[in-house]
Amino acid sequence: MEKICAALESQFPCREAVISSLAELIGDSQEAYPPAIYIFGHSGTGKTSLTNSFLQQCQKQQKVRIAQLNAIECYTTKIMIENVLDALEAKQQSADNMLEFVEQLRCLHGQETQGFLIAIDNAERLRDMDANVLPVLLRLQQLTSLNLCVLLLSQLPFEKYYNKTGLSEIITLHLAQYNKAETLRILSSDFAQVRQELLQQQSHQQQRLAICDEAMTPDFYSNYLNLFLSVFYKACRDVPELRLTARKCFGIYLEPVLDGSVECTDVSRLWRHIAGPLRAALTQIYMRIEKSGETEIEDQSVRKLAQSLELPYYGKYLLIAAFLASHNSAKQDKRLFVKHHGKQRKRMQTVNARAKNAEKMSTTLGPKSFSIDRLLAIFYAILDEKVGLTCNLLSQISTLVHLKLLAFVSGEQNIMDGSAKLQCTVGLEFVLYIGKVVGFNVRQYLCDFM
Amino acid sequence: MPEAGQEVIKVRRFLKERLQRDYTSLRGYEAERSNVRQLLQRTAEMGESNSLLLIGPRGAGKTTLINAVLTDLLDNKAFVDNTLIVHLDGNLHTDDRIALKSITVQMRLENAADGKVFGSFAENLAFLLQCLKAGDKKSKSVVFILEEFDLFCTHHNQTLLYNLFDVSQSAQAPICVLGVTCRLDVIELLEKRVKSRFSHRQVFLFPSANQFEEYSALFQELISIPSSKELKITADRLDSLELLKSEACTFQLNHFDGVEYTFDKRFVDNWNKEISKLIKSPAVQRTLQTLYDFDISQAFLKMFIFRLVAQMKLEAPHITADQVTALASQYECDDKVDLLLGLSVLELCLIIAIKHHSTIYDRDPFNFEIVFGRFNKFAKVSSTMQGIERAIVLKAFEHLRIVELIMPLSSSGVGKVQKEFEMHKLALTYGQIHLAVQRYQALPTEVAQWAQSSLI
Repeated sequence: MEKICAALESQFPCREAVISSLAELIGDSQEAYPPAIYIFGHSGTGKTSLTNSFLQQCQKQQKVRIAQLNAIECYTTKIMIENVLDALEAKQQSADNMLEFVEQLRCLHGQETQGFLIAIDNAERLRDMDANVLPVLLRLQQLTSLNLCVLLLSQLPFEKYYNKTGLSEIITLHLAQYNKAETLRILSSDFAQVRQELLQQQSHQQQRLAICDEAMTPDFYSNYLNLFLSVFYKACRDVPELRLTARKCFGIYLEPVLDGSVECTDVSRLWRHIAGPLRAALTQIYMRIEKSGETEIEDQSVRKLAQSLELPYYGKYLLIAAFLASHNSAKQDKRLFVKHHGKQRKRMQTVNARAKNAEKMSTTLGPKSFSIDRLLAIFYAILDEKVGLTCNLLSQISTLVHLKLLAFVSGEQNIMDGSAKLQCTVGLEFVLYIGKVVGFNVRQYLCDFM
Repeated sequence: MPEAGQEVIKVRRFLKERLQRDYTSLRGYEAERSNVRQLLQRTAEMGESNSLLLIGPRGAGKTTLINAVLTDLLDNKAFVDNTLIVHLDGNLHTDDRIALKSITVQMRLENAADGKVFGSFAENLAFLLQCLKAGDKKSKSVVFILEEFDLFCTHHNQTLLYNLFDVSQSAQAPICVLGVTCRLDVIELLEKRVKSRFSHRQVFLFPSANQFEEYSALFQELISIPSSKELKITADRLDSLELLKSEACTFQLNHFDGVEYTFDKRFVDNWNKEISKLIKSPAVQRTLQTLYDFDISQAFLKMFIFRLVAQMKLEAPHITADQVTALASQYECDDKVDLLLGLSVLELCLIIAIKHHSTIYDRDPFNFEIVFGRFNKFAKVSSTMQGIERAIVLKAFEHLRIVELIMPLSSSGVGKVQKEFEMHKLALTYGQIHLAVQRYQALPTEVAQWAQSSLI
């Protein structure tokens, strides 16, 4: 038991408490295991890797058989029980249902193995499987009379599992998210590896290698990490994600030092240099865009996207028209787009209704569907020049659909008879940029902003 | 001193095993126990047929009661010779076909039934019961134990239940049907024709609510080591368990057996003295009272003691009052608040925005756009949350959805609606959010202030 702890604690820093309580519960295969343990915590807190290495250590040091599976892969009862039986070397014939599963496990009696450990990752998926899976797993020890323990890993609290008649008792362990100091400690444990990689990269340039060798000190790296976390930590606490991004940005941070333009001790100038790229990197966290050979980090904001979208002139107007059609009700069209629409009488009722729903504007509630006729009518209304209704123009609509800027709601088959309904899938911000490009004020034509 | 170390390990192993694997010792419920025992005895000896439902909350000791009664009766030779026990579990026997196959196997009639074709379920069951009569003048009686009885009610036409109850009423063969369930309304689940055949004998097991003294005595009993003489007595009682030869009921195979353990007498005395001192300390009494207020079932207490015992180590051979209170405080904390504390500041900001929306619009559903708009209003005036792109906020919103702090209103409408506009509801109380904001480490002051009031 102590050996297991010692082997794991160096591998998983800041997790001593959980390792020791796991070891207390299932560390010794000669003692009775608890029937089930539920381990939960946010993603990236080490649930899966910790449990997996723990079980592997158990298998190495004691006479224990283990099964590790993921409920996403084992999405039906049959696949799951076959996997468990395979891993526990208990399989004689195929098992179709829970009864046969339990019976085959019972056959394991009298063998030399002292314990059985089953770990199931993404356990929240068990709720979507047959109703008897979870209750049976939780009572598997009692049903099979083996020294057996089921470990369930998930991101959810256990209360999300309760069904109508409740479940049997389970021991829950919570893996708390790492706090800032712990995150820093884990990230800086990479230092040796990062340094090694850098030295290898620079090995062909003597001068840079020398600078690199001198500048790369633990202090320098932890300074960098502090700067890095000051930008990233408020938006993301997922350690694997932070680690990945920290490595990516470190090259940019180091670049001026290697050039010789900035001293490696001049933290404030280094900060001025790195602040922009870090902010840009923040926009593409979780996306894991890998571009070979390019160190520059691209800005992935909506503005950039809108500017980079190359649509024909009429295509842009069609998109704007589609947006207006999606977010204005058809009743308002006359008032918005016809020159002499007559006087509108303001009634108290409408004023009140609008005031109440300030937060429920159509731009926040989502697009409504519209017909192609209405789209074209609005298109002609907002476009100053005269264009003929040619097939070129109509093909623009299908281009927009292909680009997923518009989407069919219904009637995809019968476009010709006009019963097809479309909706616009881009957001307000995006359309505002498009409008700016063609010189059209979109806000002016939205009922929400009147 | 190596011996003392060995003793500690041995005690830990002993206590763990007794807590986990003692399937047959029942505490309390004397009246109910004798009731069930008499019923089974009459079935075995006089050939009476009967049916009975055992109802009680989870962890109350329903299965233990049956096991205890069986253990008692196995001493009786007439009972062993005269009865067959058939165990069925609603979670395992999910339909009547599986159940019938299992009944055949457990009655050891596979050979007799092999190759026969039966027109109906009733015919099949009648044949099985008929087989028992053959050879003997007196038919063998069968005890059917149905765990999770309520799940059998969902089977098609309730055929199994109908036939079992029908046989038990019409005195074809002596059978006794014992249903075990935790649903109080289980009678209402039965079809009319099934209900009318049921004897309406119900035994309720409810852990008593106002007996804290017994609870703390139980705590002491479970955690102290009995003398070797007491161990011997319980072991003798279990000897008869070996006579129970059923494939479906295997608890005797790894049942806890106290005879394997012998302890140093001085150590045992010392241990028991420490334990009684521990229980008398006011801190432990208070903790036990809170545990008692949480859950009065014995299963809960056993699990608590199991975790306590697991903490015993060579360096710390005794259970201390601090350990008891520390472990109990783990039960008190709210899992959702713990999860909230693990969120990033951005995600917590979204939760706060959702909370403001919910208070203003009386828990109306919300989508990403609404929350983002509210968050943006705050981010514009704040110094810490500026310059966060929409894509990242969306990612944070999705993370909240993955950990089910917010849940989509309908699970079916996925795909039709864009994810920014899909309506969600909040799965937290305002109290939990408030608590999380208070406890969050190094939360920017302006965020904490924003959580207090929606005015920016």
